[in-house]
Amino acid sequence: MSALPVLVLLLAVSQAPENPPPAGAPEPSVARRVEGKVTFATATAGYLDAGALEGVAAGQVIRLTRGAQPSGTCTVRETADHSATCTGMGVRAGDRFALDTTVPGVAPVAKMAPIPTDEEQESRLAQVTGTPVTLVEAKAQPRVVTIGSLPTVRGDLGYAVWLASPGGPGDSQRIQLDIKVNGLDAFEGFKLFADARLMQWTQRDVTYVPGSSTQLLVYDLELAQRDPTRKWSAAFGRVQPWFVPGSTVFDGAQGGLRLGRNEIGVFGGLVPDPWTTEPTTRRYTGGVYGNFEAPISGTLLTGSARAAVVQNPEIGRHYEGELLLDYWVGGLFSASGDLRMGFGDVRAWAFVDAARISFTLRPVPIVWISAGFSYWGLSIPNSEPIATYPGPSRRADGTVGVDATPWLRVAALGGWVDDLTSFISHSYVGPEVTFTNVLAGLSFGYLKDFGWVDGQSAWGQIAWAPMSSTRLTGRVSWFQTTETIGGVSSVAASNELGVTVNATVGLTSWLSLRASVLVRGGLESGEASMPFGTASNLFFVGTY
Amino acid sequence: MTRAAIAAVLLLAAGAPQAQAQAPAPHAPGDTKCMACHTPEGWGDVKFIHERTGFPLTGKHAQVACKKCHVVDFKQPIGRSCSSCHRDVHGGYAGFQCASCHDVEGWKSRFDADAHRRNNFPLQGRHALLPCEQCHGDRRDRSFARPTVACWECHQADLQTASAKGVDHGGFQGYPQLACLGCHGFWRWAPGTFGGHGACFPIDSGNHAGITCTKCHVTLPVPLAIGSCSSVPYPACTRCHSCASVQPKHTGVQGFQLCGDQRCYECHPRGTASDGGGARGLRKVKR
Repeated sequence: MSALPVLVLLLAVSQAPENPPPAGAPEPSVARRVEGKVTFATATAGYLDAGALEGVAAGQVIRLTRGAQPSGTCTVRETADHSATCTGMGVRAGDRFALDTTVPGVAPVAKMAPIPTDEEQESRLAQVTGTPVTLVEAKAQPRVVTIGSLPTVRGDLGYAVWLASPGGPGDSQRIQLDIKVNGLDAFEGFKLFADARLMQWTQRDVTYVPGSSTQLLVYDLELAQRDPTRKWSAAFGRVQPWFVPGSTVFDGAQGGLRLGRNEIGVFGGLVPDPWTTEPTTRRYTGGVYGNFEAPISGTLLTGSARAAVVQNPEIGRHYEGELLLDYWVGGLFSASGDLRMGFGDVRAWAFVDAARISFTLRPVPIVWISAGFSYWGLSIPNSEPIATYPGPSRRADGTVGVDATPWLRVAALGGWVDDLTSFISHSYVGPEVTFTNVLAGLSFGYLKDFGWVDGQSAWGQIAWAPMSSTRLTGRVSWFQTTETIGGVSSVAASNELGVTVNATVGLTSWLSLRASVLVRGGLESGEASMPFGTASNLFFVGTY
Repeated sequence: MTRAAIAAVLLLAAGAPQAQAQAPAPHAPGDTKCMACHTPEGWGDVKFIHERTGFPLTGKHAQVACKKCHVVDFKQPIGRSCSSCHRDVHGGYAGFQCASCHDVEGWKSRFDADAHRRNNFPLQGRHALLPCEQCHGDRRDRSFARPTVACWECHQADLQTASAKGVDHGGFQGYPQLACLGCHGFWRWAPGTFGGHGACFPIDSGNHAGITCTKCHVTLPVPLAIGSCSSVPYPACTRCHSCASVQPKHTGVQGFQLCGDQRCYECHPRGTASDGGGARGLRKVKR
C-alpha cells in the first residue's frame, strides 16, 4: 500500500512533457466546435445558448440551420459567459448553429509550495489555538431583517361579547373601533400621534358601565417633535409625556431642551376625566422633568425625574416628586427602581406614595432570574360606582428559568400580593415547562394558591404559526378554588374548566383578522345546571 | 401654576432654533466593516445577527429601523427594557414587567382571565367573563388598579339595592371583607345560599326547602354569616303562619297564648309539626 504513491509519482513523471511552457507564458488556443441553438429571437436579433466560455466571440458570423437546411447568418454582437446575442434578419427561436472556434488552453498547474515542516505546522496550530475568541450568544442562522416596515396607522374594527348562563349584570356586547396613529408626518418635524377607542354598547348594565351607550375614549392626540438629533422637543394636544415618570395624560403641552443625551423641560395641562376621558377643568397637573443617560464603561445608567403639582377632586392638591432609574450591564444584569413621594391634602405613610424595584440576572447564558417588588401607599377615595384608584398594597414576585436544552425551557415562578386596607392576601407558586420545538411552542403550567383563595390550577397551551402572518393559540385551564373567610374555609372547593382560542390571520399585506374565544364553565356540585359563559371577540385589523 | 407652565412651553417653542432635520448617523467614524451588516443586494437589506447582542429581534422588533433604537451610533449602549424605547402609558401603575401582559407581536394585551390568577383577585366564575372596565375604572391611564379585594368596593350598588328591596344587608358593612361569600357565589349573585343555615333552621329539605331569605328575614345579622345561631333575630314565622290560622292546631298547647315569631321557633326549631315542643320542652297538654 505504501508503494502506491511512489508508483503514481513515477507514472506522472514519465508522461510529463519534456519542455513545459514557462510560467506566465500565454497558453496556446485549443480548437473547439460549438453547437447550440437560438433560445429567443426578435425581428433583428437572436439570443444564443452559448457564450464566451464556449468560444463565442463578438463579431463572429454564425451560420444558422432550420430543419437541417441553412436558414441564414447572424453576427455576434455581445457575449456573456454562457450566452450571447447576435444580429441578423429572419432568425427564429429554435434555429440551430455549429461554430468552429478556439478557446484558451488550460492553464498549467501552478507549482505548489513545499509542504510545511512539522515544526512549522505545530507553530501555526499553536498560534491559532492561542488566539482568544470572543464568545457570542448567537444561536440563530444569519437572516435578512426587513426593517422600517412598521405601519404608521392601525385600525381595529370588531365586535366583542361577554355572556354567561345564568345571565346577569355582566352580560355585555359592543361594537368597537380602535385607532392608533404612530408618528404621521405633519409639519416642521412635528408628527401626529393618536390613540382612541370608539364604542357602541349594544348590551350593558348601566350600574357598571355608566354613561352614554356610545363612548369615545381619547388616550392620546398630540403633535410632537421628539427628533433625538434636535436640540429641543415639544408636544401639545392630549399629551402622553415622555421622560415624565408617573405622570398621567393631560391636555396641555410638554417642552424640553436637549443637552447631549439629556433633557430637561416643563409640562402641564388639564387632566381628563378618568372614566370618560372628557376634558375637565377640575383636574390639572404641571411641573418640571429631567432625563439623563450615562454610559459607564460598557454599562448604561438612565434616569428620569418629575416634580409636579397634582390637583383633583379625590385628593385635593398634592405635590409629588418621582425618580425612576434603570441600569443595564449588557445582557447580564438589569435593574429598575422607582420612588414617588408626595404631600398635600392627603399623604401616605412616610410620604411614600409608591415605590417599586425590579431586577433580572443572567448568571450564565441559559439561566435567568428575575424578581420585583412594588408598594402603593397612597389611599385615594373612590367614587361610585366603579373603583378607579388603587388602595395601599404590596406585591412581590419572582421567576427562575433554565433553557435546559435548545428546545426545553423550565421555569419556576411565585408571587405574593397583600392588600394593606383589608389585609387580605394571596400568594402562588408553581412550575412552567415549554417545549419550543413543538409547533410554535407547547407549554404546561401549574400553580398552587395560598391565602384567601386557596386552591390550585393547571393549564396546557399550544401555539402554531403555519405562516408568518398567521398564529393560532389554544389553551385548556383547570381551576380548583376554596375561599377562606375569617380564617375558615367555609365554602366547598369549586372547580372550573376553561378553554381559550386566539387566532391572528393575515388576509392581505394590510388587512388581518384577529379573534379570541374564552369559554368557562363551573363544575360545582349541587347546581341545577352547570353555569358557563364566554368572553369573545372578532376584529378586522387594517394597517397603513 | 398651569398657566405659567404653558407659557413657558410656548416661549420655549417660539424661541427654539429651527434646526434642520438630520438623518441619524448610526455608524461610528472609521467603521468600514460594511459587510458585517450590509449585502451587495442593496443598502436597505440589513443582514446582522442581532442575537449576538443578547437581544434577539423577534416579532415587531424585526421591522423596526435600526436608527429608531440606535439613535447615536451602534457603539453607544442602549437600554434593554421596554421602557428604554417605549412610553409607559399606564402612568407607572403597571410596574416594570411589561412582558406579563404584552409580547413582541404587538401591544394588544395578552393578559386574560387566566393570568389574573397571579394577583390578589383570581377571576372565578362570572368575574372571568366581564369587560375589564367593569372593575377597572381608570380608563384614562389604563392603570388596571383596584382598591381592595373587598366585595363591596365593586358591589356597593348591589348592596344598596339588596338593602332597599330585600333583606337589609346594612349590618355587613365593616364585617369581614369577604363575608358576602358566605351566601353569594361567583357564578350566581342571586339567590344567595347559606350553607350553614341548617344548623339553625333546615331550609335544604322538608317543608321549607328552597324558601327565599325574604320570606322569613328582613334583616340579616352578621353572626348568621359566620355560622352562629345565637343572637339571631327570630324569623318572621307569622308572616306565613299567622297565629289565627294555626290556632286550631294548637288548642290546649301551653303557651300558645304568647304566639309570636319567637315562640314559633322555640317550639318548632326544625320547622315541622312533629318537632312541636322544641327546645323549651313545651308540650301539648294531654286532656
